[in-house]
Amino acid sequence: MKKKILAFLLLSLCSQLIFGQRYTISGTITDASNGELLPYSTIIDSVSKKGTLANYYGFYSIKLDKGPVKIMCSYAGFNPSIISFNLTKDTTINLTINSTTEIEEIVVTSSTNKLRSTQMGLVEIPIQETKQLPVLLGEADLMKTIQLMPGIKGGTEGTSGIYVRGGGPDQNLILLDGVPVYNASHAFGVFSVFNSDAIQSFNLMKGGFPARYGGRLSSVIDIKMKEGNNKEFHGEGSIGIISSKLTLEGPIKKEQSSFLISARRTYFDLFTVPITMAASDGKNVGGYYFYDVNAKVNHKFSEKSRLFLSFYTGLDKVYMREKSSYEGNTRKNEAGTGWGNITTALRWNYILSDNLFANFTGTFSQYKFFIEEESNNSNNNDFFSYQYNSGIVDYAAKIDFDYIPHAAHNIKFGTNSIIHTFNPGVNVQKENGGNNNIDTTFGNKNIYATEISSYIEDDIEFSPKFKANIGLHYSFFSVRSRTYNSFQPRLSGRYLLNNNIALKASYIQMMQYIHLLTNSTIGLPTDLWVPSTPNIKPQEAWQTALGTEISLNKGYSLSVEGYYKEMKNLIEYKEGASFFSEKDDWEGKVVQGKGWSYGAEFLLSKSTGKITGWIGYTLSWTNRQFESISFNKVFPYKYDRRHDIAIALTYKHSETFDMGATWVYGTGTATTLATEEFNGYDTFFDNFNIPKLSGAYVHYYENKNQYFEHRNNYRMPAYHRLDIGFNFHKQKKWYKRTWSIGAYNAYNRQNPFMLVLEKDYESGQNKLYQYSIFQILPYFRWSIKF
Amino acid sequence: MVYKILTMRTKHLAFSILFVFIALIIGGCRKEIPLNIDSKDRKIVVNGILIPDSAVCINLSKSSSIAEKDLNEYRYIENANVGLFENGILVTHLTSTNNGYYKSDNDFRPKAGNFYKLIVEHEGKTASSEFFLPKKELNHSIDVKKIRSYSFEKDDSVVYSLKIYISINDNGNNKNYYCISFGYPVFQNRYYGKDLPISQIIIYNSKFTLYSPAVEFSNFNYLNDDEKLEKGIYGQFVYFSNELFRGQKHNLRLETNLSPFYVKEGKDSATFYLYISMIDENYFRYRKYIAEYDNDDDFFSEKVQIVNNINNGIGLFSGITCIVDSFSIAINEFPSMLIQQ
Repeated sequence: MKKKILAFLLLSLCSQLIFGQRYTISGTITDASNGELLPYSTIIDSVSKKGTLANYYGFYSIKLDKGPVKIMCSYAGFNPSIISFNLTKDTTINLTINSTTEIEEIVVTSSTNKLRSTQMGLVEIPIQETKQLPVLLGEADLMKTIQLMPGIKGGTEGTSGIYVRGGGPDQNLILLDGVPVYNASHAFGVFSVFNSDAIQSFNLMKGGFPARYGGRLSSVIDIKMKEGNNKEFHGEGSIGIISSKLTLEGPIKKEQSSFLISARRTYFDLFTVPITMAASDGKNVGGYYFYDVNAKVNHKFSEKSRLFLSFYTGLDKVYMREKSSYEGNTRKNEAGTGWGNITTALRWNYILSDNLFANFTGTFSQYKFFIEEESNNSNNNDFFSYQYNSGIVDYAAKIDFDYIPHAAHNIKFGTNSIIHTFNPGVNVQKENGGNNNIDTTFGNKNIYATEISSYIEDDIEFSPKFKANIGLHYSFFSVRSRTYNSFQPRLSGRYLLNNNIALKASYIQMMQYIHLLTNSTIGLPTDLWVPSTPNIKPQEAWQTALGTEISLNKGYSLSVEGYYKEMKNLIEYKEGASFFSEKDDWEGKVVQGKGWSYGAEFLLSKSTGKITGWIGYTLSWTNRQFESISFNKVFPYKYDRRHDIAIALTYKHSETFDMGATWVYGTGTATTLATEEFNGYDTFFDNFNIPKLSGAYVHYYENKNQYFEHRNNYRMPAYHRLDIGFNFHKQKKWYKRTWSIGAYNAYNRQNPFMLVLEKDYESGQNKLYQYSIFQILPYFRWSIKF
Repeated sequence: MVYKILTMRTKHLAFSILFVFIALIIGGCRKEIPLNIDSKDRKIVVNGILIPDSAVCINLSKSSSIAEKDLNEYRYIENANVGLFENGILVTHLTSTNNGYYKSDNDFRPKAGNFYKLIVEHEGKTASSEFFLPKKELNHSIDVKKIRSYSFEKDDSVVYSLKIYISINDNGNNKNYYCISFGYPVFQNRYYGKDLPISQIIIYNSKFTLYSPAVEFSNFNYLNDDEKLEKGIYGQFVYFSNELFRGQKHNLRLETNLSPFYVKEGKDSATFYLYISMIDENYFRYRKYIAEYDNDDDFFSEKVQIVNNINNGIGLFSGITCIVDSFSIAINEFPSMLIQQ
């Protein structure tokens, strides 16, 4: 098979020598307003009808026949740029395009790209659209917005955790400027860590992953930070109910280097500190906050060489301080818990030739969770401190190449190496006073692992109608003197029935060497990232999908995809185990099993005109089977929802007013609930053949046990919610001001967060209680942009 | 252990703080909702443990839907047809006595090393279950050392304890499951101080600490890098499989405190009993799940499912084959025990 593929590639390369004289047009595509490179723009020659996609870094290269060409460059949310000339030699053209917010003409949308691309399961939403849609507490949130797309389910109400085509929350590769982010949530997931003001673009792939991506089973979420305006100084900021943020960007050296810095902080603690102080006569103080900072600088050494440095840090912190006095003796106690990520990427883009592009990247990623407590006594110097730390640290180096030898080939290849350090939980305790003098460290040892991967893929245009992406991803993982490796073929193809209808199919295999140890009730920051070890095998999956993209009139498009996915070596806590249980180390708390999911996704979207948006519907099934959970019975995954509907609409009435609304409906999530009670007996046996005593007999001591058929045997009530928001804009002398008001859960539906069965011991009857968290939540936000 | 308790305390403290603030953010809402459960389908519940050479006694009842009223009531089955089969042959019918108890109508006594099957017919429903009653082929030895030590916790008083060394030669033929318990007879009514008549003298299972490289009370098939470390288990029964010593000799040490009060007044020695049982896998799993179920007080822990080996019903039908060793300690041995601080 491999030999056949290589032979085909060689034949294709030779074909360019046989056919007519061709030249290469190459260059970069940038946003005219700020000089930022635009990823995955479309370039089409309307004369020859040939086209290509720019890469992630805005570089494109296309080989065309000698003669007149008419190049049209387009990008979602931007007006197309058209240039005509006579092609007589290899030519470099750096194209710039204008966003539609500035020039009201024809809007070219991503539907054209999706129709022509071999990529399946791709979700792209313009950042501007995420800001127009109503959101929880007025915080525009990418992770919330993508939950409105078919095949992507949100977890527990309000959380940012996502479940793609029946996969777990750890099976999503979330990349911020190419760096994995291990915990994408603030405030238990009520908000994501991605500040939309600092984001240039994002897309999500839920299937048909090209070979360049690896390491996760279910999705890739690729988020690109803004690079900073290299032409003018600009800024934007906003003040909301619970947070404020400010973003500044501008040239360091005009059209050569630029910077961007964006910061956000909540001020919930400004309200809680006085409340807790008042409630405790000034003795206790407690609060919660989170912040995050995004920063990026880039420098253009030449048209061929660019350097980027991007940085992100964020922290959530809950704290409590307590002071007590008794007979002149003062005791202070401080306790808190926190979690946060730090990511850094240093990237160098170099255009080696008009058809070869190279990218060198070094990255650092850290996720840390901690608990700390400290107390001391002023009188006798008694001192106690305790710290718990867990997390993961990655250092990685990556080289990627884009090679476009022919108009019909777009070859990508590269390699990536990651050094992981896993800290599954270490406790440090110091105690001084009385008879106790303790200074000790205990818990799980750090685990070191190396992950190396290489890939090659080719986007091959066999004919104007048929195009395929064929690739191979190889990965290797070494931990505790055990190695795992795998070859993962990736295939996806597109067949154009006509200019408006494309049929698509894909088959992929994936391997994941790291696992998130999480409980099935709620995602917590305590969730541990742990590696595969000699005892814990890597997760594996294969997925196949079949679908169609249809471009309809008036900016409408329809996408239908069916999929089947199998996963094995999934990880779950054993029955009775949790993060808090201390009877085992983490490896002793988990079991591995398999899962499978299948379904169909429908997406009708409209991307032009005053009303834009989409309607998504998903029909799906996802199940799990673990030998030591529910006695090997098949049980539904917690987020097995048969029906999911999402409607997201924005209406732009004028330059000064727009509004958005979303409505979601989902079958109730699965939960474990006892369905029967029965007499259980704690058998107490004694007197076995004891001399002089009567013969053996058995005592039964009665107690009531609860019975359920299998895990996740009960369905919560269905979930549905309407959000609505209005934005009022006004151009002032120096800035543009926006007032945003709206409501989350506008008709105040009490959606289930969890169910609790409680027994009334007097009547002997059980009652089922539903806990809801978010009722109607109005919001407002004042924003400026200058 | 102290560190672990402190760790737990601090983790829960930190999360209590976290939850308070999250609760403040989100403002909770609670309401009663209907239970969508069919309340008519009641299953036959069987509870039966067979012991070789002992009278057969099982209990039958009905399950209740969680949505039913009067769940405090025990729904005993009193008029079922119950047959007990030994190696496929009907050996006895069990007849109802009261409160759901059924006993053999011909004083049948099970024998170790046989398959037993129970069939229960009641109101048109049939529930059944079968298991293998382990053979009495335990090859073991014990050695006892008596220790005298000082206890700082009890005003520097002298404490007597026993160290019992147990060797089990596993036959290696199958996956065997063991249970160990240790007990002493109680001669006096604990509340009234009166001597008990012989018929009421029972053996109380003493609390003890067990040291074994292969036994973990709450996780019986425990395997990790530190498996050679000795672990202390404090309890009255320990259950473990031969997974780590299949076909090999396995050594355990059991320690328990000793009191002269165990000696009956007027007697010059005390007798202690060591129970080593081979148990059916179903019973092992039942005990394991009971232990995890009882420890399931952590909100975030995954729910534990009780083992069930009854076809078309709920409950447990299983067996225990027990070997008892006893030894005596003369009262005049107590002062001369080995001294250990």
